[in-house]
Amino acid sequence: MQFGVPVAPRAPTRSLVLLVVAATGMAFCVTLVFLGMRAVMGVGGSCADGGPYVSAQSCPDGSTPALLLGIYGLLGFGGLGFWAGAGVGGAWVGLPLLAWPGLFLSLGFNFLRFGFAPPWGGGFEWGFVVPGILFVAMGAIPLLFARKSRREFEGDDAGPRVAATFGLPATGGQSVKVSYGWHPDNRVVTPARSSASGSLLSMAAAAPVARDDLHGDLVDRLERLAQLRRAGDITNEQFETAKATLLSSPLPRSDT
Amino acid sequence: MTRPGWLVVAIAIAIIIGIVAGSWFFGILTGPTPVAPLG
Repeated sequence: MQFGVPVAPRAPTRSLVLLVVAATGMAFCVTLVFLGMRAVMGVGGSCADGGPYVSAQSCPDGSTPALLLGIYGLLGFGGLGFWAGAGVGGAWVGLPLLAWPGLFLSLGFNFLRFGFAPPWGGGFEWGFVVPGILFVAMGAIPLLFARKSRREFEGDDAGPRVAATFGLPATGGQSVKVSYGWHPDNRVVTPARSSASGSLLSMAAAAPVARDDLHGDLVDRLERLAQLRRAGDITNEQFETAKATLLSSPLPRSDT
Repeated sequence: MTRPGWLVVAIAIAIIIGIVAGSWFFGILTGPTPVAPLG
């Protein structure tokens, strides 16, 4: 069964766990904001506590800490989600963005629910219906673009495309291996560039590799070089030069 | 089930757990709801 968004082949377990924790936290916080708002709307939509004046309408018990905790917690868990999602790779880095439609659709529902049927009676409350429509639009419209955005992070050319989107410079002269997200565990590393010329050697020695693939990749490249020599595509001298270049390449040098 | 599929299910379960936990915690913040006397 295949559905969902691809993850990096070696997505760190820590990132996977943290992404699940972030999703739990964000749902927790959106629920607190949703319920806190309902409590405030239940007393008319506005309230105040504290200060030197006597409040006409004090806030329902627990609504203030619920709203504060929900809003700031959402920012914190959202940040955690971005970080963990970048480690998981692909479009998972965008998972916290779903909190936006989650928040605005649920708050819009509150507005519409109280706008069309206020608990104190009286029929229709335009003051709630209008923001309700706006909130639902703010939550729903980004969802229409979510699928397209997801595709931006997929495919073999995702790295250069996403970099171009954000105006980041292309890596001049060097080919780029697509990495799954910008995360310390998924850095793209580049061995020292070969001084030898020729596309075969460039392919074998100068292409960047991901840190996790480095050792297996080195063996693969050495074997490929040996095959090329056996096939007569490169001379012994070229083989030795390329082999020395590969073996003398410094171990992971981060590009980021 | 592939890993992405597994992760989608895990995220869905996490969201449900978050909603249930948020509702429970909100109940703690607001205190016990007065219960109308029977009859």
